[in-house]
Amino acid sequence: MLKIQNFTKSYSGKKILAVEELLIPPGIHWVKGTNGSGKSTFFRSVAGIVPFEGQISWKDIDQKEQPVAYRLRVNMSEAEPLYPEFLSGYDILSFIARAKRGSAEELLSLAERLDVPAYWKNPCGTYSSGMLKKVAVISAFVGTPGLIILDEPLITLDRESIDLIYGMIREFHEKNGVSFLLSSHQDFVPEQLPLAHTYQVENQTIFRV
Amino acid sequence: MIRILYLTIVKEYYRQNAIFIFAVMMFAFGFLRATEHLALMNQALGSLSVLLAFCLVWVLHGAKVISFAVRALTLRQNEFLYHLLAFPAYPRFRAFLVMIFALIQLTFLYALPMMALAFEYREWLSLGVIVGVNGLLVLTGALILEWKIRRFNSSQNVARKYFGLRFRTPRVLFYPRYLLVRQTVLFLITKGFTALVLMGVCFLFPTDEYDARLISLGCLLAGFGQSVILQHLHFFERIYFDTYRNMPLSVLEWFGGYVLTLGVIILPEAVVLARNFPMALGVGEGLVQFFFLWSVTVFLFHYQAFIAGDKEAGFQVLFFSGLGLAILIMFKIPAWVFSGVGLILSYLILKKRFYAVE
Repeated sequence: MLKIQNFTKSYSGKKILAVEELLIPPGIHWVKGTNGSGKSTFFRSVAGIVPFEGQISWKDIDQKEQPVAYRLRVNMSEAEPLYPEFLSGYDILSFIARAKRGSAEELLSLAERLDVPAYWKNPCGTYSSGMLKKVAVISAFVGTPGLIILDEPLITLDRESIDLIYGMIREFHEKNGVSFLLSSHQDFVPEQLPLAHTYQVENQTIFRV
Repeated sequence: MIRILYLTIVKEYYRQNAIFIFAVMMFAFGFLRATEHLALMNQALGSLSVLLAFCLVWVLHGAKVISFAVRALTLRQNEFLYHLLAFPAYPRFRAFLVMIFALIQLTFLYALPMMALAFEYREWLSLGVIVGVNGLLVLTGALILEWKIRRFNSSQNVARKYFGLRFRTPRVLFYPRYLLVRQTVLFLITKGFTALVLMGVCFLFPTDEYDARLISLGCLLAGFGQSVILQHLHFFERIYFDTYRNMPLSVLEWFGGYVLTLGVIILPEAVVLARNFPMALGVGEGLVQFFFLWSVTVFLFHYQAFIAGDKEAGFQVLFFSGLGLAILIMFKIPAWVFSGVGLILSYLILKKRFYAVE
């Protein structure tokens, strides 16, 4: 259960999002919202990337009280990943895997599912946006997450890769009980993903549709 | 077009290099008075070799600003600048000329009185050299930018693909690699400056009855000389690794990582100290001084990244803290005390501010 209480996020004194209380149960959830509504800010707050007012906890592990334990359980992949062009995807994924306490074998197995080892030792500067996106998506699956946040996981990917990612989400949810927060401007295919709930980010707040 | 280039490149350059420019101004006008600058200019106008030394500094600065402009063109957030290709070649080239001219103002404004003096003394050769070097810098910069904008989709470096990628780069080396690959001129200028400072105090030491405080002052200045590099470390992480804060690492692990990264960055200073350190002070004192330099660098980074941010007031505090520290050194407080306090303060800053910075 993801618990959000008295949450406020502001930039330069301007309120972007405010949620008094929101409980998101385990499952695969779709977070919808127009451009600039604050979806990514919400995701980045839940992932602990940006500071905010209030409390966010995952299964009673409070993000601010237990920052390391929380971040071991909550992973995120950004919508538009940007990595230094002189580093390789392997450099970046190896660091993230070590930080998330994942093994090299696990990382390799995840990467192989999306055919990433074919290019991951080349510099990121040579990757297409789809190749970068795959690296970012894999980074969210390493370790032992309980909640994975995927911000626009389908953009820039080809049909085959999208199906593979659907498969990974389903498998992680069914076998490991991992919950997902997904955002996408494209509709998810209901037969491919058993969505539990849909949440809307609108008028500076979030609510269940 | 000129306005877009001004906003995306010129303004950004001066914003990012405010400390560098401030340091140069302090260095140039803090040590020398106006009359001494005039004497230097007269010397340069009378001797071609001195004038060429001036030109070398202008060329180095020109290389720094041109490489910045080229890099800025390739940044992802500036990709829209490739629409410049759609403009006719002449107005575009003229805009590049104006932009490079705006970027070299730091050295051009120094060259201006030299030109006036050369004109007054009828030193036509010197005047020609000064005008020629500055003009050439502007022209070269504009030509490089024109060349770059015409081959925007051919940036793959095949040699790089096969070189140096057989080993994994550990996280502590991400930023040192960025410095070497993307900020080479900044890195070389900074290291040149700090090497000169450290060699200067080491050579000065045997000439009078100095003690270790002289070396400590040198290390302090060398530490503060890294401030632009340290500021870039913060930018580097915010641009490319915002997700760091989603990593389940303890504050101590982050701190250890930063200390190691900064240790790698000041390796050139370690070599300079090792080669030039006065033997009379002993190896132990040499290590104490190096750790002092290291701790100054560590503290500066943590202060700049997690407290000062972009705030101007923060940098004023930093400047006056440096002066205060220099005074305390003169009061014979041992360098290892500063090292210990600096490291503890850095850790506490990181602990309090790591997740709070935006």
